[in-house]
Amino acid sequence: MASSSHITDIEATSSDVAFANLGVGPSGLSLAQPSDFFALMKPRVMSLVVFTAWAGLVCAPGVLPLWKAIASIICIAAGAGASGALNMWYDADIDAKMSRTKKRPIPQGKMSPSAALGFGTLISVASIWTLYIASNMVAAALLAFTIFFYLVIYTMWLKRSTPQNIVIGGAAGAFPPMIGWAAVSGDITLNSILLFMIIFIWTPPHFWALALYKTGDYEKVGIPMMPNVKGPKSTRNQIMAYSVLLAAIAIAPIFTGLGGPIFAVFSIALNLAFLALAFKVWKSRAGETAESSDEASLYAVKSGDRAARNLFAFSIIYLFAIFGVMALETVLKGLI
Amino acid sequence: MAEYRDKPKDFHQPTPEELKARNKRNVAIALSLALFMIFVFVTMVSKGVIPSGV
Repeated sequence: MASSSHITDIEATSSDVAFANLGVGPSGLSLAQPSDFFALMKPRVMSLVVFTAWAGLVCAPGVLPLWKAIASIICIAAGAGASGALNMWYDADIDAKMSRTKKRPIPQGKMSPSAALGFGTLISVASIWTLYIASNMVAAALLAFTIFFYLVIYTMWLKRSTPQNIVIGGAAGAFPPMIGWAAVSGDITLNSILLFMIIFIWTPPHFWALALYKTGDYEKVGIPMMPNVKGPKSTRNQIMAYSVLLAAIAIAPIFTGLGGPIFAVFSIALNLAFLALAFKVWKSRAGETAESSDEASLYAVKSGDRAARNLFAFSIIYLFAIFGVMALETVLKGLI
Repeated sequence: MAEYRDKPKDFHQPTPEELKARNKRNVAIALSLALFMIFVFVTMVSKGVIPSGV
């Protein structure tokens, strides 16, 4: 398997990166703190996972007893955290060279890659098993598939080989609401697939907006992100295309009965705002380098990068709002 | 009798930072295990696998 040679590569290049001592002190004891293990689980990503899984759980037909619902959410969050730890184990070499990721525990030399591997594996197994006993086989199987997909399909295979990495790999981040739904209903339906599709189609514009103003970072470590493979113009075109597709999918719940009138109003408003920001990026020069040092050229590039930043920031609010309103309306419907 | 077969050549006394980090990890592992046992027990009770009267 590629992983063993990958780790050898990490150790071989360790002389010029921060994790040269592989996270151990002079006596051989690890210097890792519990907080470093928590950081391995990508807490910010976990918060989005917890929220979308909760939304899936609330919107699903049927009722799950409170404890089982809490247990299911904890398991899904732990599973997502475990896949984050496994991702940091495999990507330790490139994380050390990127400004966005160089402060992670392994590049900082706080722990060895093998500690992250052990931690991630243990939490993966525990979260899948406990989700099975807390809910059902379908939800546990979906969680297991999500961890496999994120580690093997995205991290090990797609991330370093194709600019479509986050398009296909985005599926891993789209599964949590589907798992939450399955924890209640025990099945996969059109509506749970819609929840999946919203995050799946949201991922490319979200990540490519970030990649447009972080192009240099990805290029430095040889990650084929869309801006450094196809160029900023093609990336901006695709951001616009995916944003239109996202708008179509995000209003679909109105027609399937998943979203009511409150969702309809918010969804239309949020999608219009998303489209407006994507349009600004599309018309801008985000991701390009100024061909001359004259003020107008520098300003055009800088304002393009600002448009990409705005789209990236809004895309996070967008996802929380779409799922939040959908869940809230379902709760209100239940109360009336 | 107190003879090492492979006597360590370069023994380093753990530094206070290393010992502190190890203690913190030990406490975190103990707490996590305790929480995990409670978690599994409560889940089993809520599923009716373990009668709640027990």
